[in-house]
Amino acid sequence: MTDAPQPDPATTSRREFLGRSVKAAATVAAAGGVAAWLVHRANRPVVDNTVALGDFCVGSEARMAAVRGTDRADLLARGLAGVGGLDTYVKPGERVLIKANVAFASPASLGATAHPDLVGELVRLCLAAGAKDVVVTDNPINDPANCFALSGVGRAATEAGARVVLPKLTYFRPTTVAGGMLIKDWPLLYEPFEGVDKVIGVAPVKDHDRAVASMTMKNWYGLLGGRRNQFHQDIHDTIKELAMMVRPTLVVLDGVQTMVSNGPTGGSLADLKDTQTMIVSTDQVAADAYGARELLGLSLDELPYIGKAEAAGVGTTDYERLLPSQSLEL
Amino acid sequence: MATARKATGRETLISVVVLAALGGVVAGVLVKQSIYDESVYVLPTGDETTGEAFPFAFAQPDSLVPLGAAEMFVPDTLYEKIDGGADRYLDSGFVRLDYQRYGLADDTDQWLALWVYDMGTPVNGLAAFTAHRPSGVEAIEFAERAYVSGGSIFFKHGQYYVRVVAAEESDDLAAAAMQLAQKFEQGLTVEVDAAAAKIESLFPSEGRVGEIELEKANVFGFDKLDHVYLAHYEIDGTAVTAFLTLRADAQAAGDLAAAYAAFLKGVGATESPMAGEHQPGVTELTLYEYNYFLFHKGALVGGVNECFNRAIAQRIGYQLYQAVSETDE
Repeated sequence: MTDAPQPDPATTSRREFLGRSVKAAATVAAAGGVAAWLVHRANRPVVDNTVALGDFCVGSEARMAAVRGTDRADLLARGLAGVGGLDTYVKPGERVLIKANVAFASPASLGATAHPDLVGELVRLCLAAGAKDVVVTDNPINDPANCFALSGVGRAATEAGARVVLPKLTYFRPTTVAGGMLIKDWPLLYEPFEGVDKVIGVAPVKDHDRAVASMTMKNWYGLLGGRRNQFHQDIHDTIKELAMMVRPTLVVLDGVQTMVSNGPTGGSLADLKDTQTMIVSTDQVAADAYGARELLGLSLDELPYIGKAEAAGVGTTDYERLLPSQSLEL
Repeated sequence: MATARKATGRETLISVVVLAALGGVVAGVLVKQSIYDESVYVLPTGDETTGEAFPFAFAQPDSLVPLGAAEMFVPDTLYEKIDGGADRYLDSGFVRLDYQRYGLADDTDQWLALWVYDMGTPVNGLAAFTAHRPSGVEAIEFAERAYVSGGSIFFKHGQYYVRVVAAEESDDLAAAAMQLAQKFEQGLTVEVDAAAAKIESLFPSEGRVGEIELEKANVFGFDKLDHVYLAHYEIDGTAVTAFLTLRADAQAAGDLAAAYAAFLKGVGATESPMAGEHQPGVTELTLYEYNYFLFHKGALVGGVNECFNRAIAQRIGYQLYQAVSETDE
């Protein structure tokens, strides 16, 4: 009988070592898997908290009118008539939200904001069409009350019968643009949209240092909260996603005067050019394409966000197809 | 046959602690990620701004009263005030913006706003003024540079680019705006940029139109050409733009002139044979129908850019070259 070597109880056998290694690896892998699963779950939009704006479009066929003149009330009436009349879009008892560009505490004369005459008249027409409630809102970053007061938009809207809703922190809810890459879990000025049936955007035509031009699609930027200036790093894709985020009933692009330099703030009458045109459209891409080409004298290649929005299915750049033949009249 | 050793109580305890720690990390990640944290989205309150409040009182004429509190913005917060317009200031050395609104003392519904952009240096102040001046505005004899538009006044004063913006066109507001601008300009002592004044004095006066401008970057589409002073001329119906830029030393000036010539040749320009006596450091080039006169002398690079008439390009170019040669810089 030979003496077989006995294992030293203080040492670990190869089998024991391999077994423990496998168990340790399995434990780490399982813990990592659970953590990854939980984090993945947590990163998904929280259904109870995240919001998305609905589709406020009316009808499936895009319509657009471009009218010329200087009296904004008259232009608005003719523009609306050109797309079938406001009563095609706003029905009795409905609630309407007007997103006006009131980004700056700047007088109306400088063209950096929506014109109070235009906003006031639009409110009146909505109420005349039977709207139960008209809300005018925007989220200027700096001192919203001053922006609405100094631009004259607040007073004009209120006197016409609208409610002006200034942004509060509690009015924001996170949103993620479906199919977007940039606007994810980002605070959206949502409270004013609660219960709203129709949405109308009102924006002036402006030169823009980063985006080249600011018109109806860029106007939705004012619905974002937070440190939104970071979106300027990829402004064209951001504007495309804004256009994907909001499907408005109508947009009104005010080109009675066009800010041709130092935009988007301007500051001098010398930054403005008389272009005497107003566009009313159900298609925000077409409206911006018109503004770019006809009012700012730009090619669409200079405004990549317009082509990107068209490619994303938001609208068409072929505005000439949408214009009724009698649209442009002096 | 070896038998597996049972884990000791201490080992089991350590294992449980490690696993519990891992579980805690996982739970922490889960909780953090699943809660909408409003604080992430809270805007700065203005407390992030630093520095002394701007002493607006020295500039206030009796015809105006302040409306609301003064506001101040620094590079991190400038976008709050002018958002998409901020980058052009930030790219030019912006330090801070001070803003105050005023109403007419006898009718505060008529108001104007004073915007004071501190650009850090007189050169940056000129760059901001130049970059924001629309074409076709009326220059006025006021401060170092100024123009008016619709009762508003825009001027450069040392390192400051100042805008006095009237809310509407009215004689009373325009008069008050001018009073405010004058008190501001007279009451705030600023650094005089002697080097810039010297450079500007070198441009020939014959046929010069408008003010001398300063462009800070990517001048003539060439990324190495920055901080360039531009003077515009109208001679015998031909538009001419002359330029000068000061570099660190003669070597840097020579390198820049050579680089710009190479850049032009890279897009198809050819060197033109020199007429008359050749001056050291001078190069003439032609691209399509355009003529270029380029020189470096001391630490200065200058010349004439894109002129349809070669004789006029040479005339202005040599006048500029002569003025630079005579300077003691």
